[in-house]
Amino acid sequence: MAGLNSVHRRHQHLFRHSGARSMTWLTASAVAISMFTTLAFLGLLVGLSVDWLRPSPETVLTLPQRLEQLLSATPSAGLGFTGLAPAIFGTVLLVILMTLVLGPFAVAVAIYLSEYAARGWYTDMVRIAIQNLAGVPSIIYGVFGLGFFIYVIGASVDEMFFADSLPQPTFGTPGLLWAALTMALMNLPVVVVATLEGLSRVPQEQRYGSLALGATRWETLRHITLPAVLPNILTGLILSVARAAGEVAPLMLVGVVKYAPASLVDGRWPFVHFEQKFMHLGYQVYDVAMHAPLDSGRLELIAVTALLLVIVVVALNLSAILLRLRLGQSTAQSESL
Amino acid sequence: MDRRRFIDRLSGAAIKAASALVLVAVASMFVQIFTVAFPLWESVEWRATSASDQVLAAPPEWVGRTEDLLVFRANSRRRHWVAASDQATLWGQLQTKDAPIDQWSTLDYRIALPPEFARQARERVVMILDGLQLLAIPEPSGTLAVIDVEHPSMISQLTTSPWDTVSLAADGRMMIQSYHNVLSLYQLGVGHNRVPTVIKLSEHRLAQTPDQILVSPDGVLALILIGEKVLLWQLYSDELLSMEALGAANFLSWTSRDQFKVLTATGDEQYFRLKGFPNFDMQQLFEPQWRSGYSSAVFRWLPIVENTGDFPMFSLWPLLWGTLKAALMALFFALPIGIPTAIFVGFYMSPRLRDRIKPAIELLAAIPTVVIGAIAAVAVAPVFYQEFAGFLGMLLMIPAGVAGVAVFVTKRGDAVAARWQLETLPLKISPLVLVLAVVGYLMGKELEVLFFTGDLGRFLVDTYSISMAQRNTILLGFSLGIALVPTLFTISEEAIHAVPRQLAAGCLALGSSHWQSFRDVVLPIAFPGILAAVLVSFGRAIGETMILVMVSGNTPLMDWDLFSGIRTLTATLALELPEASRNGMHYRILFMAAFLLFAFTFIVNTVAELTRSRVTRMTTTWQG
Repeated sequence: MAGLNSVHRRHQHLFRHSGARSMTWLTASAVAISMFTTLAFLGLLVGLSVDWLRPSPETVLTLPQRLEQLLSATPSAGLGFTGLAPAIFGTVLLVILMTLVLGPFAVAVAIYLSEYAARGWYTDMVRIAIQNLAGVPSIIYGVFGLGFFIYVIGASVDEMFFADSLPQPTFGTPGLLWAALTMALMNLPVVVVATLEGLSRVPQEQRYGSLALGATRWETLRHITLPAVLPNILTGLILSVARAAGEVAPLMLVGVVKYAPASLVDGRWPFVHFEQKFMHLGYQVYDVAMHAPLDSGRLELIAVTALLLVIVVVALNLSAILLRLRLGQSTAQSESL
Repeated sequence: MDRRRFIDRLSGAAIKAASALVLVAVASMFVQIFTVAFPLWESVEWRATSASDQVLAAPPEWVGRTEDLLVFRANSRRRHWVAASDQATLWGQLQTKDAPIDQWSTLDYRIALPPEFARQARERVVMILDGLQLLAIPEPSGTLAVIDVEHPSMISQLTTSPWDTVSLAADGRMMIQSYHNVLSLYQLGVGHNRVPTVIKLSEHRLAQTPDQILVSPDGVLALILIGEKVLLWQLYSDELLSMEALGAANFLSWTSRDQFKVLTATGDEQYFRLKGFPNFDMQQLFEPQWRSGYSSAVFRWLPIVENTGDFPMFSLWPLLWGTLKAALMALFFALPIGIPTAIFVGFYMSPRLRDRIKPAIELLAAIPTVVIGAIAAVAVAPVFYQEFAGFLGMLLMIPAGVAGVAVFVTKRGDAVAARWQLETLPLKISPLVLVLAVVGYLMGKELEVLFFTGDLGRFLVDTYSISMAQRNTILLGFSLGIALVPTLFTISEEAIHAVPRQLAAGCLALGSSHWQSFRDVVLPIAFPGILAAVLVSFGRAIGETMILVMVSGNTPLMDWDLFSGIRTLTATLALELPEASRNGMHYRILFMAAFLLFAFTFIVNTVAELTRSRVTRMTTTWQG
């Protein structure tokens, strides 16, 4: 409403509706209040973290020592918490695995809907289904992951390949792989929508031109369309990664634990142990907040962990926003499929 | 050329296959959650099996006496067993472990029953009730003696109908067979001041006198043998689950929780196993239930019971109530902030500045809810009690102060108005909000000292007997509200901004004020979009989990009290599903709850989507 202000200024004498002024004031106050609330919240978080970083007289540890303890403490140290390093590692592994599964599938769905299938009742149904998935509570994905991935697929995998070790389940129990699949399903709409939006912006003439020159549909896709939508796919994936790093509720059902003694990656074949339970940064925040003993320093510890999580998630989202800005597209994640 | 064609075909097939797989996954989500819950409704039947190796558990070793043992029950803090050496005397031991001392202390007792109770019963029947401290002794004449083992001389007497046989179920329920063929269900309870009560729940008249009535080991089902027919009765829902003729059966006995043995007249033994979920019925989920500790039927969510032999309670109402209460409380805090913010940014602000500010606000939506929950639960909840007066002061002072200044501005007229720069107005108001917050806080504290004896929490308890839980609905609503504001803002702002600006500009040119043009032109068009924003936020509030797990206190209460905790559907799923045994009743009921949640949010989102698409259609038509 660029013009409105100048209209306002030039016709000051017309502007004497008093009710109007108070409504302007009130809505502006709401903005101020939301800014105030947000800043108060972030200030609390940062303030508590700074409290933790400041060396206190009663602790003998220096700041680097404390940071090291924060990263690599073991539960046996009696601190009531585990160091963040394995949690960060578990989160990163989860996110990588999720991206590997999510990327190809989500892009395939988007390509199918936009490039291969003719628009009809079937594709409409698919679009509506995917759009609705975006609004499904995250815990539902956890319930589905537990009921389907773990107890149906995992149990069958156990029966087929790991029958020796039954009744001790190998894949029929919560673990990294199932958590990654659950997260991939949860973030499917994000990447599909982002990719579709990009595909709709690729001019039809480019495709026609490529096809007219004798390229096959795949070659057109491979060399013309996909390179053009790569930033969109990347945006979608970054947003999904941010969501997977911060979302805790579904993971509680499909494989996250407060302390995983076995390491996820080691020298034994197959080197990455997908069936194992893992640690997660967001879950660490929950666990320390709810279950760690109430001693001095716990609050600050939670704040440091939470701040780290917020920084990671916000940085990821920020990069997605910047990517979109560079693309010259609307900054908002478009909801239209 | 062939190779290229081949690759093209292959990739096409791969894309189709991959997308089909994803669609299968999406579709199976709908189906799978439902299919787990579905077996709960399957009819209960029994099938002949071979003898099971499962044996009924022998009494645990803390039971001091095995011969003449009548009954034993235990929970984590109490154990109680009763034996009868003859018709007139009861022996027993109550073992208790109370909090400060972590050792079992025992109370041995020997109760000589008064003559009117010592007479008739062929077999002595005793029930252990309420905190495992009360004994209930039904007599064939219809009198029911209730004895507190710590004060054995005081015997309260209750009346039931006179009976031929009595069968005891779990949780103070009993089935009485009287006048040969009448079966009645009674519920024993403990009311106010621990006065025992007995209530008749139902009465059934059978065609002929039953030969045998046999309650299952977990006290939920009863097998009734009438001639050649065997009836399976659910004692909690009071319904007949199945009825079948089992040949020449003449004696039944349970061999495990779900298997029973039939002894035929010729001396053969046959075993039958129950299929399905005999302990489940819909009434449990949605109707009040009787339990021994209560004097009336209640709604309770108690999936894991402490006393062995008690029956879990699966009422969904407390969870649905908690979910709704939390969502409404969150909207109460989020709406007055989110929507006016959207109006200012979408209507008053210049598009240039709006494009900068909007991503920043949307960034807030990305803050993990677990962080908000953790800060609220650990940093705010412990001090909520002391700081409540200050918080209340802030809550009242900020809106009141802002509104007061609005009135002042209106009265003073153009002198103030002229200096307004719309864009930076919020920044100029910010210090005012800060001042108002501080003043409100201090005023709340001051008023607390002046009028509420310096401690509002204590005052509320003393005067109105309202006690404040640390993790209460107000704090929960506030933290959940913070999480909702970005969603609410984004969607409603988009709806407002989508309204063509020529319309508002035209209004201004005709002499209307900003607010008039907003109220009369922009709002009617954007209203469905704002409504959609409210709906989507409501759906998010219902589906949010981490804040609810951490701040709600997880107490499944049903009341209007804003100072009490609650428990929501999502929190229950997150906390109980990892513990529930696979394919058990609890597991399936949780899946059913998940399905309800799924269906509900699906409907809310679809309605919101339809509403929103109406706005898009309207605005695009107007622009065109």
